[in-house]
Amino acid sequence: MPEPRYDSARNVSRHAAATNEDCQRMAARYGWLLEDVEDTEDPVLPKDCVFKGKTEFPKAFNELAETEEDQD
Amino acid sequence: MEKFHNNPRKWIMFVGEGGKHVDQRLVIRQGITNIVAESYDSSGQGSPEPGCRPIEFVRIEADHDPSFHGWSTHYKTSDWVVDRVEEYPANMPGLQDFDEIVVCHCKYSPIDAELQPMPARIVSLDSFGGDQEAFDRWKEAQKEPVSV
Repeated sequence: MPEPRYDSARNVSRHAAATNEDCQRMAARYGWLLEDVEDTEDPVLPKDCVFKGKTEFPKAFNELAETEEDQD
Repeated sequence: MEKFHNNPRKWIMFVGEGGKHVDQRLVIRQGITNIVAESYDSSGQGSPEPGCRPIEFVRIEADHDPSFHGWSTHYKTSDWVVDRVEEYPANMPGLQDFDEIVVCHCKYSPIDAELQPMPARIVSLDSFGGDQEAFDRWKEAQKEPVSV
């Protein structure tokens, strides 16, 4: 049986956001698939946007992205 | 809003069918819904097909770190499988919030799916809705030593 074209279980990526609407805007702006929005305890960026796959910004924006792991 | 693509925007709902499995899982604001998953898709890929499964998010309390996680600690392939798909295109293409709404009717078919840990979150200018000053303040704050 051929593998379904749509398989949302491969991997996900998380982006911090201030609001649910920011998650929606990211998906619409960059052509991503928004799987989930979750609350966090971060007072500045209280939302987690969970997108399907390894999301990448257009090349000119790559240097603007930092993961929280980079801050350790 | 500047967009880097011309893909249609879809709201995809995965709707559970089958009685008790739905009632056990789904409560929103003290009401009950049979939506087992939903996504907002601007990727331009085709709609889900029968046989595929959405993602399910899981929280394992022993692994939960509030400084790292949102609600979920892991994700996995869902116990719900798509049985049939209905597509509802916009009646005013390009003038509505969504170009298409997709309803995926799902059957409950549990599997022993592997749990994947949630990845680290990415912070970018878009996290602040494009507010460069807020992003710069956040970056500066990450450099400040923690006083003890």
